[in-house]
Amino acid sequence: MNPVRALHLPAYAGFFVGQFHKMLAYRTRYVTGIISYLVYVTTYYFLWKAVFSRRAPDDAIAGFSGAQMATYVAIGWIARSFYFNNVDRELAEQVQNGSIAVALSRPVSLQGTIVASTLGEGLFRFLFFTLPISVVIFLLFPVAPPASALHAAAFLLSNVLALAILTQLNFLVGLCAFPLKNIDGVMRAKHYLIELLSGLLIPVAMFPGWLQSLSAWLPFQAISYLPSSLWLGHARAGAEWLGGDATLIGRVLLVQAAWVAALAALGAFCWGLAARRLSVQGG
Amino acid sequence: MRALKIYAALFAQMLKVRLAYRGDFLADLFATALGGLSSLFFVLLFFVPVDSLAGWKRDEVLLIAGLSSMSYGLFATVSWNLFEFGDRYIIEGRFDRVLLRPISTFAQILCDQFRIPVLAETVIGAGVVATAMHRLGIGFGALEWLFVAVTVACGALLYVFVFTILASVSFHFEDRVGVAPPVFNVIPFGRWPQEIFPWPIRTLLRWVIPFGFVAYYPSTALLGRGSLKGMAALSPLVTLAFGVLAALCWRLGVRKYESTGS
Repeated sequence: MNPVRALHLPAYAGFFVGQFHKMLAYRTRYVTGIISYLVYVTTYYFLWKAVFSRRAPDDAIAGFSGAQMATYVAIGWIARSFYFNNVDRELAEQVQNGSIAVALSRPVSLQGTIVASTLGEGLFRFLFFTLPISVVIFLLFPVAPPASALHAAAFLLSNVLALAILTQLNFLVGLCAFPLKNIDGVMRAKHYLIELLSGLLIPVAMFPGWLQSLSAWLPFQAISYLPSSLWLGHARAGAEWLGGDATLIGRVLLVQAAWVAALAALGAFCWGLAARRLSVQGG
Repeated sequence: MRALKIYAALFAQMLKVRLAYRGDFLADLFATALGGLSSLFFVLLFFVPVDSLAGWKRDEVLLIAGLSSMSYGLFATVSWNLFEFGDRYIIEGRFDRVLLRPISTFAQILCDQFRIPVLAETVIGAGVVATAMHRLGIGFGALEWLFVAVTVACGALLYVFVFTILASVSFHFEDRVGVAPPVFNVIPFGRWPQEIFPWPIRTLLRWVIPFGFVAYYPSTALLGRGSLKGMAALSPLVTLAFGVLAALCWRLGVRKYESTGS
């Protein structure tokens, strides 16, 4: 008997478990993946090290000392190994090969099944990808511990919300496969935009003023910059409107949750438009 | 001659497929240009709070990044099949069809998924290189243009050869993802002054995965700085050496190939 059915888990749990199993089938990807993340952290660690090695030890840039910047780089990439997903590519493939018709015929919402599977994938990534990567990176690079136990807990929760935000953004990008047949360029542009505007490569606090103001109105900094600021306990966090240290955690989580809700609503709306004009050839 | 005609026919067919959706093509071009711009925009952002990196000023780093973008754009036109080789050709058995045609297997793999929009990255890179050279007061003589052209061609070929070697691993170990992704992620290393890295990484980028030759050493030559400017002269030789190695690996792989039987 199917264990999922035996436990009478809701339908979405099936997608959660299914994705977890699917990930297990591609084990070599995780060995090469761990090396890839080591390469990322190495590049940006030495980039920033070169910057700070020529400055006085207490000469911070936009509130970041050299040691904090090393931690920021390491933590940012470790977190990315958890929240990263290919929802856009997978959705586009389903649209292109017509298997999206199967998703339409299911009695559950497509967005819901995608959220359930990315959470399954997230759990898998956390256990078999993020944890080993963390061990390697913590051993090789000087990473400071989280500011406090509370900050650590908030950091974890914040990254689950980052995963949800990225999933909804990727869902929107994947929906571009309805009007366009080929979304490789769109995915590539999105990839670079998120890498840059999320603060993964350079903290938002170091952006020029106009770009910081713009970032406050975009969802991207909620993917990397805000969660990593929680680990560092960075009260400034480049967003003064978020308030002082005491309320920082609550406000970061609130801003992230608001983005999840807003993007999910936008996704549902766009999916409604797209599904109406869907034509599956031979489907 | 006959082989050339077949190539031309294959290429024309592929162009027809790509241009069938003209709106798509334009959207892809626009998005690729945006992607190319944003990777160069990072260098600009980086130099907002920072005024020099290991003695390199912003425009000098832009020169490296621009040269790297130019080579990468050319390489990316053919790169997809190299990345997906294990999956598309070995596991899904498409390589049988390739072997049946009377022209080079390698050329077929390179041309099969030719992507035109990524050339936007080469054009943007050229703009950045020209601007940086102008601002740095480097002359625009025929010699400089020839140097840039040879550098970019060598860089693109070097990328192709490195990833051909990695793709040919798929002949021996069947795996959908392959060993290319970590090496692909090494490409950004080559976009920065190599002095910032400790010696093991510098050595790796010089002799093992020689991406330092794509843009960094040529830039030191153009700028006439440092003790390594002579290294740029080695760039065509390194490219040639990796070409020979790639050809050997590919032949060895093709000989080893057994169909999936499907």
